[in-house]
Amino acid sequence: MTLKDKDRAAVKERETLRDLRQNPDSGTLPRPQMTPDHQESTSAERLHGQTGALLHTEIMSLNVGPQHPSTHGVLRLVVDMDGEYVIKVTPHMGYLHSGFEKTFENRTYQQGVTYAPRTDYLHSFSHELSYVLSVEKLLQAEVPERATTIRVILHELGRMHSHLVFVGTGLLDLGALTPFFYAFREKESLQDLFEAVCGYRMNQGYFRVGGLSRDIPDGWPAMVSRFLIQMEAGVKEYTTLFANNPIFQDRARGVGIIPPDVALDLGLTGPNLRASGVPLDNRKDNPYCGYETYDFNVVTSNDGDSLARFNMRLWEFGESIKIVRQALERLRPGPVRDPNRKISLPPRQELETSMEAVIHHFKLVTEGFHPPIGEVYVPTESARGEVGYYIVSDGGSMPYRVKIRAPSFVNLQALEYACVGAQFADLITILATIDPVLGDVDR
Amino acid sequence: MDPVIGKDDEKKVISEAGRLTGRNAETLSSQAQLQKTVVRSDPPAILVTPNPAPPVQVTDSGAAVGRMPVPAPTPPADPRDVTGLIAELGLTEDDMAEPTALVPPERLREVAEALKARGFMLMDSVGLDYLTYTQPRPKRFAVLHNIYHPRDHRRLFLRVWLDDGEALDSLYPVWKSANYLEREVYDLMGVDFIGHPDMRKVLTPDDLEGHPLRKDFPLGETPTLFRDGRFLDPAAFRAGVTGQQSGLTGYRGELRRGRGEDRLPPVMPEGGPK
Repeated sequence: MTLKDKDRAAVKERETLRDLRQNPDSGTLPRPQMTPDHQESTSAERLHGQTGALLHTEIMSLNVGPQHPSTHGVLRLVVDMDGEYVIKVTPHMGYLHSGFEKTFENRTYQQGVTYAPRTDYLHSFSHELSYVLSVEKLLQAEVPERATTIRVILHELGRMHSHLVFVGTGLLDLGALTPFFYAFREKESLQDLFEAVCGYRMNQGYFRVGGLSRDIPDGWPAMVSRFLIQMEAGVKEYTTLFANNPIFQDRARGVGIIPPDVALDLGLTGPNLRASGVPLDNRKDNPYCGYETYDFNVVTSNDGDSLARFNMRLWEFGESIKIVRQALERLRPGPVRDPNRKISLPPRQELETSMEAVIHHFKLVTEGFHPPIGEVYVPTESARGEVGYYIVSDGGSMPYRVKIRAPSFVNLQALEYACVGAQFADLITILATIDPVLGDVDR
Repeated sequence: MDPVIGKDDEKKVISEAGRLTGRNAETLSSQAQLQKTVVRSDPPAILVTPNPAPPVQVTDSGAAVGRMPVPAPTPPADPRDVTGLIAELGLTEDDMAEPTALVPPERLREVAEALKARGFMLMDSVGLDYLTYTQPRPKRFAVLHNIYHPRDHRRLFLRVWLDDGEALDSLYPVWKSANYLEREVYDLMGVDFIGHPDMRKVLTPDDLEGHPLRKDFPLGETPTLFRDGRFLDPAAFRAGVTGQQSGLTGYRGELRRGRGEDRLPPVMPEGGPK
């Protein structure tokens, strides 16, 4: 027996053991146990599909992705179809899994800011903010007023950024090419704003524990208010051109209805849940960054279909614009970092005069700060739903454990529910309106 | 402190240090409380919130009116307070920054059903491995279920302690959202869930051995075994990428353009780079 055969035998044995572990008798549910490499319906399910049909039909398994343009990344769906109708969807995730949670455990708290925005790369600021807020809760850091206001502005601009991509690519999936260009026109302006503030067009990493990495440039608030005017015009255009388009409405109305009780059972959050009529929004219900002092509405709809989910994003543009306008008015000059030298770096000019500043700088850069022992969780509202970082600290300079509550991952479960009984083209609609970001799903 | 620093600076340093030690002292005292208040979660301590019956007024009314007795220190009714709920479910409260209830593994399903009946939803499941934690923990693993009420916004974490190899009741029959969440905990932390209909890996490749978020999962230089029996040795792979040897994959980065002299490492042209 060669070494290769031996390895092969060992792998085979492990696989057998793994299959044995998933003993069908241990299940308490009527649904049959799936094999580890499940791709298709079982033969019993296949036979069941034939009974009521007039013609001889056969259940076919269709593989969608992982490089399908409508999957918004690398999601692979195995769709079982009975003629034109979907009877079962099995998503296969993990193509973008890069072990962020494990990486967090081996980086200092401040370095973690680099990884957080890369999970949800369309609304990066939500993950960044959520991570930073959790660490600040551990440290009891004091974030200056100006930093909080800038965070709110960027958080809302990020939400618009994500919704713009949703409007563009979502309609692109339905075959409408034009909206993509309209939406990306505004998206480019937004990315210019991000670039002006921190140098990155995506994956910003601009927030720091205790504040911001640097102050905003001069004239940036004026740029933002100019953009808001452009954005308002843009939203009007999307509404009249696309949302009221009869072809689009025919394809989206009544497709993939998720009732509120099912939505809660599936753990949906964010616009997907609000489209089903549950007014849950962490900005209102678990306010952070002073959101309780802003005047805005939580938009809901009672339809729960794809059209409602689409319109939810369009309406949220208006609310975000409102919040950014109010935040711009509140912007006052001031510090943007916690003055505590044990948390934030000393200003550059101090390094030349103060030995103490040099020591603090050295300690923060090489080792980082040590939050007290504890476990914290701060829920925030991203464009996709509730984002939260459950951070466990053991008193060291690196987190002991970071668990990301990724809204896309949980929202994706609605796909398995909402697609059953729909046609294949509807599956694309439903997937587009559920709006998962695969970086957020796989982390 | 360093003698170079001037008077003002020193003062600032001291005040800052005072602020910091104050902060640290606070956290230290809270840690001390943490040590103490393992006892705190006795039933009588928690009974305060659900039914604050005022027994003071009954004794003698005249004197009570005259003295204006300070009522028993009832905390302000916070609608998000879950201490009453935890006591109602017969659980003990874990002393954490977030409201956490300790649930015995055999009671998890029952508690979850009671919470579902009250309208709670399952937000997240967190798998934790306390193998290398600095403080002693009852068991190695913990699974935390993040439970949330979408109408009155109460949040509660259910903590179950587990040892390696212990399986836990799945919450899939209670909340459908447990489907992927428990699969993720199984995949990354290796906790098995009984009664889950589809317990397979969700994020890591099928042929990856082990559970990456366990603390004893080796980092970095791990030879990867693929299903066809092929090994990928990191050292050999890296050698290939850096171009020193042909390596395992034969990929040599920039150098691999053709045959013959192209495969030689580049040399600096005379007179330095152009």
